[in-house]
Order: sequence, then C-alpha cells, then structure tokens
Amino acid sequence: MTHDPLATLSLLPSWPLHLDNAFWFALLLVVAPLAGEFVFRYLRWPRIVGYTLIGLFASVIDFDTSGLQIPALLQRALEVALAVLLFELGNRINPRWLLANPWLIATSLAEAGLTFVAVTAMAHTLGLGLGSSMAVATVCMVSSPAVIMRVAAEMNARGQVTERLLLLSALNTIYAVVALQVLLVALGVVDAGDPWNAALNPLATLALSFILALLLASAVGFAQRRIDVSDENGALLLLGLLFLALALVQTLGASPLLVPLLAGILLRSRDPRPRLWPRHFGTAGGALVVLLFVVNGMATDWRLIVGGGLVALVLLVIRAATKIASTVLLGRRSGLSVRQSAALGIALLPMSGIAVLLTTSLHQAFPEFGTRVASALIGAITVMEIVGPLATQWALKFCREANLTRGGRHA
Amino acid sequence: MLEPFAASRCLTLGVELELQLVSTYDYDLVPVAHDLLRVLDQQGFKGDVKLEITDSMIEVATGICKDYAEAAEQLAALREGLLRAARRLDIGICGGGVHPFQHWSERRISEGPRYKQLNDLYGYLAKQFTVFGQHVHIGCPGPDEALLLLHGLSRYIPHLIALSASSPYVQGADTGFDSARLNSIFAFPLAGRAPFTLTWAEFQDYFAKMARTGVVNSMKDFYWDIRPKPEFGTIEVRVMDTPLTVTRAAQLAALIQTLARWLMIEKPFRPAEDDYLVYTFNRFQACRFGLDGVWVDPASGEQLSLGDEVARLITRIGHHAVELGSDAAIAELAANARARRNDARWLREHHANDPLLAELVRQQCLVWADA
Repeated sequence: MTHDPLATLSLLPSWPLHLDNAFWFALLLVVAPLAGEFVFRYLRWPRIVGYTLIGLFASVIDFDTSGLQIPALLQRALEVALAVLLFELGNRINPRWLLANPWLIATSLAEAGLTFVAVTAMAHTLGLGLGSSMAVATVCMVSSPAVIMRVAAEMNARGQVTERLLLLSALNTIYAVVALQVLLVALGVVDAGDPWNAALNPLATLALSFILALLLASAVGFAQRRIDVSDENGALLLLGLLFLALALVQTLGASPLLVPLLAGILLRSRDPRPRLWPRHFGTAGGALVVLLFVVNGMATDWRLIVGGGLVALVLLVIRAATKIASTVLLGRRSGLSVRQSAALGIALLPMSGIAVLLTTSLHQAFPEFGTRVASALIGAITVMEIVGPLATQWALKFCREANLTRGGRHA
Repeated sequence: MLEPFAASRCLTLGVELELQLVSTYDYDLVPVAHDLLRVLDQQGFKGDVKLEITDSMIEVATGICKDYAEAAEQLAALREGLLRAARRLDIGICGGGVHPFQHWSERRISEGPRYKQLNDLYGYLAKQFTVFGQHVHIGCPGPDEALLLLHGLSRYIPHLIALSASSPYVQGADTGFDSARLNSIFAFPLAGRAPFTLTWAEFQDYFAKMARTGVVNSMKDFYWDIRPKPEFGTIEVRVMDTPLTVTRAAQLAALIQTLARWLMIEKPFRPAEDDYLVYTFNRFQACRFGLDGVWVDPASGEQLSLGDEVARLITRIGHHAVELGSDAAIAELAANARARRNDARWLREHHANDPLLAELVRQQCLVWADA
C-alpha cells in the first residue's frame, strides 16, 4: 500500500477545492437576479442591465469561458428563450396596420435602409471590403427585439411609441435575416463557382422558415382552441411546441429567428381573437429570459470595447444618427408628435443577442470578415448591451408611456 | 359664478358621447387621446372631439340639431371620422359605460389644470371616473321653463337608465348591475338630483348659498343626473351609459326630445318635491335590473314593470314623436323594452359565448364600427 493513509481517513475534501462548472454556473444564476434587483431598485435601471453586467463581469474576470461550456440542452433552452420573446413580439404585430398607415412602412424602410447605407459607406471608407461593410451594416440594422420587449414589459409601457417600437424592431429583424441570406448569395456566387446552388440555398432557407412558421402557428392555434393557454399547463405546452419547432429548425437548417417571429405574426393575422397567455409563457419562460441576458453578456468581451476603439464609436454614432433622423423626419406624417418621434428613434437603439448571433455566423461565413471588424462590431454591441436598455427606458419615460407603478410589481 | 341663462331654440338637441380608446392587441384601455386628436387634425376632420379626464377616453359632440335625423347623421359622420383616424393608429374605439376589465390604478389623468385639481380633490375617485356616458342637451326657451322641464323629466330617469345600460362588467367581474357606471358617479359628493326649485330666481339663491360655502365654483362642480346648462340655454340629461352604437345614442336623444315636447306642450302633470320620494328607489331598480326592474309611479304609488312602463310611455307620447319625425326611432326603443333587450343584455349574451373579456371588448369595437 503506497498511498497516503491519511487521505482515506480524512473526511475533509482535498484542498484546493475543485469546483466544477456546474458550481460556477449556479453561482451566476444566484448573482444575476440580485444584480438585476440592485440596478432596478437603486439606480432605477432596467433589470436586464444587471443581468448583462453580471455576464460581462464573468467574462472580465476571465472566468474560464471555455470551461464554462454551456451544456447542449441549456443552449437549446436559451434559444427557446429568444424564440419565446420573438414569438410574443410577432403576436403583437398587426401587418394590416402597415396598409392603413403607409408612413409606417416608410419609417421602417428609412430607419433600417439609411442605417444600412450609412454604415456600409462608413465601413468601406475606413478600408473594409464592400462585402464585409455590408455585413457590418446588416448587423447594425437590428434593434434588439429581446431588449425592447423586456424593457417595455418591465415598464408596462403602453401607447403609440411602444406599439411602433415593437413593430419597427420586428421588421428590422426580418430585414436583417433576409439581407444576410441575400448577402450570402451575393458573396457565395463569387466564391462557390456554382451559382445555381449558391442562389438556391439561402432561398430554400427562407422558404423553409416560412413553412415551419406556418406549422408552428397552426399547432399553437390548434392547441389554444382546445385548452386554456392562460394557465401553467397550457403555457408549458406552448413552450414545448417552441422547443419542438426549434429542434426542427436545427435539423432542417431554417432560421431560428425568423420561424418564431413569423409564427407569431401569422397566428395573430389569421385569428383576430385576442389571446393572452402569461408573459414569456409563465415562470419557466421568464427564468429562461433572465438567463438569456446573462449569457448575452458573457458572449461579448469588455476588452473589445477598447480594442474596437474609434471604429466602434463611429459605428454607433452613425447608427444612432440614422435611426433617430429617420423617425424624426417621418414621424409627423405617420401621426406622431416631434417628441414621440425622437423618443421612438432613441428607443430603437438597443443591439444585443441577435447582433452577436449574426456577427458570429458572418465571422464563420467569411474569412475576409477579419478579426478586426468582428472585434469592432462586438465592441459596439457590448457598449449597446448596457446603453441600449437605458436608452429605451429613458425614451419611453420621455414620451410618457411608462407606467412604473405597475411595472415594479409585475415585471 | 352662475352665468346668465342664454337663449336657445326650444326643443333643439345636442348629443355628447364619451368613448373608450382601446389597444387592438389586448383590448385594454390605451392612452392615445392626444394622438387621436392630432391625427384627426391632420386628416382635416371637422367635428367636436375633446380630451376627457383620463387619456384613454375622448368626448365627441354633435352641433345643435333640430331632430333625430340630423343628430343621427351627425353622429354617423363623427363615427366615420373617428374610425378613419383610429385605423391610422391601430386602435379600437367602442361604446359601453365602463371598460369591463381595466384597472383603475393604471389610468393616467390627462394634463391640464382642471384635471389636476379634480385628481387632487377626489384622489382615486377621479381615476375610477374612467366611465363613459351619453349626455343629451335640450334647448329651452327660458330658465324657468328649463327648470320645469328638468323636474318633469326626473320621473323618466329610470326609463333612460334601463334603455341605455351598457356597463354590467367592472374590473373583470359581472357586477349584477345593468349599469354599474352610475355607482361610480353616485360616489361623488355632489351627485344625485338637482334641488327642487322651479324658478331661476330660486335656483340663483341656491347656487349663491352653495358658492358662499366654497363647495362649488361653477355648474361643472355638480354631477347631477339632469342639470341646467345656462351658457347653452339647455338642460343636460346625464344618466345614460354610452350605448354600444351611435344609432342607439341617437334613438335615446330622440326619446328625450319627444318627452320634452310632450312635457312642455301638454303639461301632463305639475312636478312636485314628493316626486323625489321614490326617485332613488326607482333609479336603483333601473341600474340593478334594467328593463326587468320595478318602477313606482310617483303619482299613484303603483308598482309596474319598468320594461312595460317604457313601452306604455312611448305609446302615450307617440303623436309628439310623429311631429318631430322621431316615431320610427322611438318605436324601436319600445320594441326593445317589451323584449327586455338592452346593451347590458347584449354584453352578457356575448360573454356567455366566449368568457374572454378582451374578446368582448373586440366585439364591442366591431358593433360600434358597424352601426
């Protein structure tokens, strides 16, 4: 017997303690809601800023992000959280409103289009290839629907600015997903040498996404005609359907952003009867949404704020300028006051999870899309993960649509 | 200050409706009154639309009309204008005396000094005052005639309540009342009936005494069921819930005009203080049970079914309706009274089909846009 006899005798664990990932992850889950409550109570900031800060902090202390491999099932759960938010968002969008008020279409096209053009021009001027410049611009179009949904819900915001904010954010998410697919075609043609295949793939992705959205909408519609979706059991069924849809999305290669968003829109436009399931499909969905923002924070890197430097800053300024200018110029015609129009532009500023997602997929798709660009972009996103929710919150207060008395109790 | 009683053409009428502004997503009230006014203005809309105490309600008013046809036409034009603006904002507009599931604490008081003052004085009552009524003005040749008409019409307040009742649901529950809206109004200290004065001189005395106590400053501080409106030269009947359709609102206005003509020309009875002995009992019965309620005849003390009494009254004043051109309109009210049908019943029937109150509000929006 050669081993240390003391070891077998001792009841104490070996030192230093070996704490595994599960422990750190659990700790994160304890700290995040505390941080959310702290910023909400003492700074009157949106809770998600607290969640994101904790995620960022975890990446700052270099808390072995590689070791913190998110288990596959949890990864799926986070995708479901994003899908929950997108589905809820889609369900609040009324496409007929666009027909009744064409200035809304104009506002939407202007704020996304101008952002795209201006950012492309700027990035190209700074020496980036045209393809990469357009890719950066595509990411900059999106106004994080997840952040906007959460902040608006937390403040119990109601009114014209809130409704238009949700509509514009859903639309610019759709534009970005489609633009990305088109971009893949445009650049894929150059690289692949087989134009037919290159053109077909992205189109197939979009078509498939639409079909899956239709199926999901039908399934949810079918379910809620038969059981009460406003209780916990019904909410669980809805979550299950989303899980199922996302599994199919993964297998078939459709867009995980487009499917839930379109499904929500289709469901509402096919049956105008109001459907009021609990926010985020109840407690389970709500907890996943919290987690989503923590992981968002972890996915970015504070050092890139410094690394992205001037480029990131210029990107953000141009993006803010085009979004605010568009809503202010067209707001009056679409029926808003100047104050409301400005608030709408400012509220559209958040950039978050979806932008990270798109950047990562771009980085994988184009080798040309160098680390420098990706860092600048991620740097910009990191800044906006903190500034964005504050901008939206300030804007909704500025146009008197916040209703904090209840928000404090319910959110 | 009590203004002098202005001159107005006898038996002209004007209708005011307070309307609900709701989200087309969850059908809860939504604060968009300012936006609606802005868009109406942009669309070059000509019509009287005003802000109300909370910013999820508006008040529309017709001009001075001579008869039912003119009032109905003006109300229909107002409705079309409002619907056009509402589509631009993606909001719903509906009638009904109370929003069935709104929560009073979430209401926001409109900007403006008078609303701020009301909010400071009445506190939560001001927010609970998110109720929606129809007001009808009748032109009177002079102030004494106005007071005589006011006290004559008081007998028929229960009839008007039962015919217009459209507020059975409050804060998510069936109250059992056909008009729960009036319960919110009775909570105000200066609600109820006007004092029994039959000459303007006596009324001026009463007003001066009240003003001296500092309790009131103007006629606006009285929330009476019927009150004189000296600046218009009218009396204003204020007990009706906003009906679910403008057609019904025009019919109710026609009934009041016909009653006024009958009371002014035939002078079928002399109003007396004793008429008011059964006033609150009758009014309660109408609020609680609608057309199924009991009505006690203040003159004979006889107890009658309110629905039958409404139909009988309309028959009795029929020839005045023919003179005014409102016979078809009030005949429809009589038929509804006999069948005990009012908007509260419509709401309860729809709610029985689909228990989701948000869906009920959507149905209210559809029926308001339709008729």
